[in-house]
Amino acid sequence: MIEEGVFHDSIVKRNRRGKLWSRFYFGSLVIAIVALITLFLTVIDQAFGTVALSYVIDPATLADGRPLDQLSNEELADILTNNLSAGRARIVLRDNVIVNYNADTYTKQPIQELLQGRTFDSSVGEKTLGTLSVEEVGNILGQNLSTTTLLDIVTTEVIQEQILESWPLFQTLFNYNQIVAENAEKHPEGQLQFRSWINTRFLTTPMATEALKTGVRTALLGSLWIIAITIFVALPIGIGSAVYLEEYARTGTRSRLFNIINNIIEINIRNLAGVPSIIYGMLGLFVFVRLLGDVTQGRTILSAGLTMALLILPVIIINAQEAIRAVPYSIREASYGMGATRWQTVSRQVLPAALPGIMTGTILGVSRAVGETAPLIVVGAATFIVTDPSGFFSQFTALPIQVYQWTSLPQAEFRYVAAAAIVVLLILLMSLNATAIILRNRFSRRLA
Amino acid sequence: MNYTVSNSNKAVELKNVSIYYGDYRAVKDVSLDIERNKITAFIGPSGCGKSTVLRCINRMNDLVPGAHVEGEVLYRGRNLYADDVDAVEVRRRIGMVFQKPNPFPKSIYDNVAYGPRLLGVKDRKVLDQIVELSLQQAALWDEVKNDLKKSGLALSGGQQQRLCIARAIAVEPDIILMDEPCSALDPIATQRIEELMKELVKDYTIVIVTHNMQQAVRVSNYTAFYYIRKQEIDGKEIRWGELVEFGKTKQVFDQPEQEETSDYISGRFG
Amino acid sequence: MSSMELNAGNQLGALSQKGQLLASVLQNETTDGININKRPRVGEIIIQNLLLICGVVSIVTTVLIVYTLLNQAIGFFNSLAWLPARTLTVNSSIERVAIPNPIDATSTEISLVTEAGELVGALQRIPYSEGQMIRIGDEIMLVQSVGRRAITVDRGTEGSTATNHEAGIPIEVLISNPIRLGEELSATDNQIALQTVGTLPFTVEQVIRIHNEDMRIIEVAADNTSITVERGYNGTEAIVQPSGEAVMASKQPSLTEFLTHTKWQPQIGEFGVLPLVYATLMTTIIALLVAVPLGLGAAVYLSEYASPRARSTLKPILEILAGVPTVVYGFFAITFMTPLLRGLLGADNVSIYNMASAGLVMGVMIVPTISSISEDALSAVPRSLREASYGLGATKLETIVRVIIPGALSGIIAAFILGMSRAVGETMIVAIAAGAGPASAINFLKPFQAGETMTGHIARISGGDLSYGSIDYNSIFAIGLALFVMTLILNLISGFIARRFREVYQ
Ligand SMILES: Nc1ncnc2c1ncn2[C@@H]1O[C@H](COP(=O)(O)OP(=O)(O)O)[C@@H](O)[C@H]1O
Ligand SMILES: [Mg+2]
Repeated sequence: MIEEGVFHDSIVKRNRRGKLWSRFYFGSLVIAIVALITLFLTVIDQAFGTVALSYVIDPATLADGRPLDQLSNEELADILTNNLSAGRARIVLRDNVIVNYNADTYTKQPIQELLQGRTFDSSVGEKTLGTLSVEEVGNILGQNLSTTTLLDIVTTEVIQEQILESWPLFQTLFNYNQIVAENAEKHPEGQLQFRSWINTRFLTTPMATEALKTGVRTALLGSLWIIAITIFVALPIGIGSAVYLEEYARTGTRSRLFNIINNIIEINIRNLAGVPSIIYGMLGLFVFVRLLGDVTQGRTILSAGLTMALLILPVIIINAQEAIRAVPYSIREASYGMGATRWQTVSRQVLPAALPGIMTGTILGVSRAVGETAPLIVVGAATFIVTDPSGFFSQFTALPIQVYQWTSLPQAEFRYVAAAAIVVLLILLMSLNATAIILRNRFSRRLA
Repeated sequence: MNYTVSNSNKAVELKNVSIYYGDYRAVKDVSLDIERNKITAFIGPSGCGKSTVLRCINRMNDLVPGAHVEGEVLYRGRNLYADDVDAVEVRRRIGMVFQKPNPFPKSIYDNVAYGPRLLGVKDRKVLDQIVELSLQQAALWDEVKNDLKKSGLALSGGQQQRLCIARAIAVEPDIILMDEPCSALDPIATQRIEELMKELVKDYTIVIVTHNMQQAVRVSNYTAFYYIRKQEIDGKEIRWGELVEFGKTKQVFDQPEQEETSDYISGRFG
Repeated sequence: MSSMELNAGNQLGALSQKGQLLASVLQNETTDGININKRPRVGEIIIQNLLLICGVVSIVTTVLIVYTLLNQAIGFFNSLAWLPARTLTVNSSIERVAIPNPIDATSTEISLVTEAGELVGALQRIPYSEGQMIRIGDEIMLVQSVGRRAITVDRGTEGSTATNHEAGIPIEVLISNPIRLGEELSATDNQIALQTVGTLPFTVEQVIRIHNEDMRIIEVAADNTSITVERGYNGTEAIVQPSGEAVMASKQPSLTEFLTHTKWQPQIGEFGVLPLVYATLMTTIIALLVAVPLGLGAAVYLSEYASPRARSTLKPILEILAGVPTVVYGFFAITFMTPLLRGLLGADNVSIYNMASAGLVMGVMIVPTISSISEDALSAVPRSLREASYGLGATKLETIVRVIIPGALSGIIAAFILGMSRAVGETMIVAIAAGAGPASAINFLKPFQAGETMTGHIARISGGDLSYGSIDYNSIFAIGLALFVMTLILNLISGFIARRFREVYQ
């Protein structure tokens, strides 16, 4: 005989335990999501914030309080003329306009020879660089450089902006007083300024050694090049493999050998998908960079793109296979029943119907390629590069490589730069995924 | 097999056909003749191999890995399974309509034009005419002539099946195989398809699989009754389908020769 | 015969309107008879073969991976590290003291204080200095720093192995004596007189190098004063060598050393991969400690508790975790997790670069892998089993714990192993947050210290300027091969278990 109370007790206990555990299950999910949110917040936190800057000359005093980015070329050139020594001005001219120089540049070569194809006053044509006056240099700079470049020169040469310290966003928002106090104590000359580390300048300038001046232009272009090569190589091969496996290998009578080959391909693809990405980097280093070095010219965009293509091939194949498998068999039957050949059936019915799925899968794969860092490190991303990639055989860097390099630098400011690069990377990824969703929706509407 | 068709009227002749899926023999020793411009119905309990036999007539079973056929399927005097016969060409001559309507996810026009386009017809005018004629033959033209651009999937089930028939006849096949074409349709749609078949049979030879015996009686000229045989071998039960009786529909239903047939049609099983 | 008739029969019937239309535009659509002859479909065959080639590309990829790793790893095992040849002798001028306490194989600190609280052997101060080599039993150690009461050492150096030592074993101080040429060597002389103390560390067949000239040892004199060599070995030029020139000894990595030794520094002839493996295991274990409960918990919630609507919003969020590039996780580890750990546990206890931070973040990264596979496994458990359990009066939790999770166990294990494989192969998080430098096995149980994993090491080495011939270059492929084998085995096991699981419920 069980007393009712005992029975009741135990069921209450059991239910209580059930509730506790259900909280744990839910909690696990919540923790994972909180971690994700924290991750994004960390990035945002670092991508914006306050900086303490010091100037040799306060920009506010340079143009009677007008913001510098509204000045014309002439006005900027004037600022340079007024604030630079003649010697410094000549160096600026040499570095920004002449570029190719040697020991004779200063004293022997006339300006008209040095500045061939550039604009300059004919009065200075006979002079050498060493004898130009500040005004003459200023004029040449104003006539030959873009406003942005001039502004850059003013910032580096005249204002000589320098970061003393930087603080992240949330501290700026919620504890600004402390920043002010810290700044007053540590660097009384420091001028506090809100800074978005991600800005148009950051997007459009190449790498530099200083956090304030560096940018992701080269890396962004490098990533786009690599994506292009990756898609160009991996997409046809990936779809081809998937079509082969789903439409050719599975149906019809086949010899034993063929079945064995097909099985090997299947198993092999699943295993390739699990190979650590860094191993693909080693494959790229040995095969593309070294063995095929004559074709790829070594550590180039082409080698990187091919490596990435191999890396995402299994992802594309597996996703495309799934998409193709999802096409109802009845459509194939109908087509074959009409007297269509295999390729007619595949190209006119199966592939169009599977396209949205294939696209989504491809974009998943490409997203992976965009974020992959390790293989590129091994293949040999350039550590410092300021020229835009110009083709298959350029040296390369890519967004994630930049993130890695900036994160690994000891100077604290570069953490902020890395965060800004992450924002760019994540935006690139999000736009890729958005494209996938839009394309998929458009296609599935058309097919409905 | 107590009935044979005179040679000149044979559309297809099956001689001792056995069909295998891998090692499994699904159908054993079927021999029958299908007469030109007549409707032949295949009936029998589920799993007895009606679809299998039907699909072997246009080599659809080739698409199933491991499936193969023994015996001969003669079409215009040629064994369809001979080495020098092209399965794709066979299917273009012997069309098929499936159990579930399966229009392509394309417009009505594109569905019907699919076959002619496969054959290489590009001339838009010719295509227009073929589409119109086929849809008329399939008794669908009046319903869809104003929105040929509409997706085939937007039609009702009965219309979809007629679209599939139109699509099948657009390449002017010789024979149309229909595998339970009405099983997914309501009675009214079924009736329209049955009427349609009676029209079509003037131009084409039709073989239809049906599990509905009334339908067989209503539409068919000949009926083939298949049945599942079982045997124990080494404690394992082996099953296969066999053609039990074949003849004029009236005769098969009114005076069946085999006991299984009469049991089946009187509804004692199946 | 009958075929003739039939064809004739067909000609009789006039073509239908549609047939005429088709015949009007198509060449092979003739009015007489029907042609079902085999057609040469060249296009089809070409396409089929092209597609087959596409399929084969993935096999080629695997072959290339295996070829690359094997070829270059063999290069590693065939390459030589050059070290100054030297002999080790005991410095008898320093008093031998016995270790007062037992030392176990993993500790790096040797206390020299007796129970009475005094230095052992009535020493006034510890007589060793930094950089000195000491020997306890058979194990040679390198003194890293000298404190007032204890020394810290690098264990198991010079190819010896770190072992446990009992109290009372004496500490001997070793002197390293470089081996030099005893007298000038002409370009043809095969007999080399050496200036040395103690037993020569040479073996016959070993290759030595003196100032760019390689020589192969043919004989080592019994009195340890000279060797006979083959001059100008390996295509090097035999030259006149001045007296006093240092002799370099070659060291070649062996598979046994690679797999069993506990030091990795190929440039100086330390070829034991174990420290890198240990660091990899350490970060992997930490990652799994995070990912398994979280992933499994999330999977149970999603498959058993969440409403379809909640599921369809929560699951994609979880999947975003899988889409975040790993370099971003690395950034997260170093800017968020490391400061957090240092804040919680004290900056003294947690290095800036540490395995715990990398492992924890890596755990978050694998959660979606584990949860999505486990969830599939959980939802594959048939309804009937659940209903049977509820029918017996079990609560939801009891059903989950006693019926559903056991039912899905092999699927869950497959997920766990796959997660492990991910963690082992993950590079960027550890490269950024776990630290660098030659790790030693001793860091195994110290998650808050820096530790370099296999992947982290490969990334660091190849991030610099690698020259293709160097032993460093080849060594990363040997590590890569080990990594490949480890992940391959894990993936195969996971795949095997998952397949078995699927069979059970089909
Ligand atoms: N693709 C296939 N693979 C293997 N066996 C099949 C396949 N299609 C049909 N069968 C088997 O062949 C037998 C006959 O099937 P089917 O022709 O579909 O019968 P029916 O159409 O008369 O119901 C059944 O036992 C079925 O299991
Ligand atoms: Mg059937």
